[in-house]
Amino acid sequence: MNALLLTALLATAHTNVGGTVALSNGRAAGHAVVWLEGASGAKPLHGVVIDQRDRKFIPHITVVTVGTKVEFPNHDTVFHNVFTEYHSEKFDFGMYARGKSKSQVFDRPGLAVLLCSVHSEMSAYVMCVDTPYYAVADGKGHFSIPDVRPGTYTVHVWHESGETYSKREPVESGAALTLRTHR
Amino acid sequence: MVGLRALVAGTCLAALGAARAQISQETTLESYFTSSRVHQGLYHYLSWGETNVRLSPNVKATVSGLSLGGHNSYDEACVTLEDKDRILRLGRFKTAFGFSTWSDQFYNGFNHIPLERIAPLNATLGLTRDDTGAELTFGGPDLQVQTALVDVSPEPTQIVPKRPDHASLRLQTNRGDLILGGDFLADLAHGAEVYGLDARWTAPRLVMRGELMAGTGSSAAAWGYYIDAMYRIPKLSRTQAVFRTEGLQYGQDNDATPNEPITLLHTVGIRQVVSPNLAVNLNYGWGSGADNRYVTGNGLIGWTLRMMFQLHF
Repeated sequence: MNALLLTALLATAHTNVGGTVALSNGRAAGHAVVWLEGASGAKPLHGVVIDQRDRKFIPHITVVTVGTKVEFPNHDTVFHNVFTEYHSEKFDFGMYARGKSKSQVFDRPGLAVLLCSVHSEMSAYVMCVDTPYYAVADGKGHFSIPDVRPGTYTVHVWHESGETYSKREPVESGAALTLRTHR
Repeated sequence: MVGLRALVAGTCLAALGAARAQISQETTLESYFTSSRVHQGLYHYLSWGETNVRLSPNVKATVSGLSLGGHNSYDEACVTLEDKDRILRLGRFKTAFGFSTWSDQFYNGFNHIPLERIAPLNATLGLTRDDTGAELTFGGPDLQVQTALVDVSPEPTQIVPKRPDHASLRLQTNRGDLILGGDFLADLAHGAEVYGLDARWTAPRLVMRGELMAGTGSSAAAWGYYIDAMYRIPKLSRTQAVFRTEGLQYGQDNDATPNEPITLLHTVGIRQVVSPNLAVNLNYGWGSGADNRYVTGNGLIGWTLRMMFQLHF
């Protein structure tokens, strides 16, 4: 009975998976997106907002799960024209006044690059994933994914520089991953 | 110098008032080079720089300056206080009037500011100005009101108004993909006015916009308009094809009624954003009434090239 209980506890025990990501040149992959593919149970997020303010998209990098609706309010004193190409589907919000908002549902995994047709320096990224296990690394490349069920996953990394990492590997309790991206 | 001290003092006061200040700073530097019939080869005609210091989510200080034809001046130097529905600007700024922001005028595929914005619309008022004074914005996106009391002819480094004798009102509404605006600027000392209407309409890949502005007064009245179409080309997300048609009409011999032959100018072009730091425009202009000094003097007929270098940090 005790052995059965222990097995059940191990099967349901969740752990934090952390580590660091580095670029191919050895520098920290700041703000890289890390996610574990192969887990079910991802649910759409609520209240995800990418703001336009001071000629910037805030935040610069956002991770959402499939089915998440993202709001794009304009809180700037100038007009922007937000557009992207997302899975060959293009959305173009046009121009809208300060205080207005438009939204988009991200219904398939993949990367969307947000641009503004007025301000060439403005950009942001939305990574849509089909897993509950994901994180955005800090500026030094450190990341932590909470409540991961131990198992074997495909570990993915995407960095704004275009470098990526993808490898299937076991993720054990208390795992500390050291990942290096490549072109 | 007095103005500069006032700006610094205002900024410090704003900073003191901003509880738990989260200060961030953004700077943009731009240089514009052009080539046209007037300026052959690559001619450096304008440099502009702006620093925005966000002292808190509700308080921002802006200082920008420009060097144009060897003359240096402040562009804007103001403190902005804002909450969800209200914005108060104090200092030196471009008063909201039609498409008046730097973004509206320079971040597009056209190599020139519209004629109606270059030329004075009556004896005392034009639309390309920096003002000093106060401007209040309130209301929501369905009806936004912007009203200002300003000095429209400050010295190059003046921040505090000396003669705030011009009153401005702008109303703007956003209905679906259409944004409509109405503008009114009154010279309270001389009894001259400028009226304006503007509209923007956007669809996927396409931006249409236009302004109609008219000046009144005892002499030198003029009116003008322009309509812009900007189309982002499929599969070339950073390439825009643009077309502008515009007109400007004056009164003969400083007449209060615009009755000279209208100057028409048409411009077709393309804008290529090469990188976040470089945008290149190629325009071709033609028209009638091209003897107008604002057309020939600025080399707007025939081919013109403009390169904009930008650093943002």
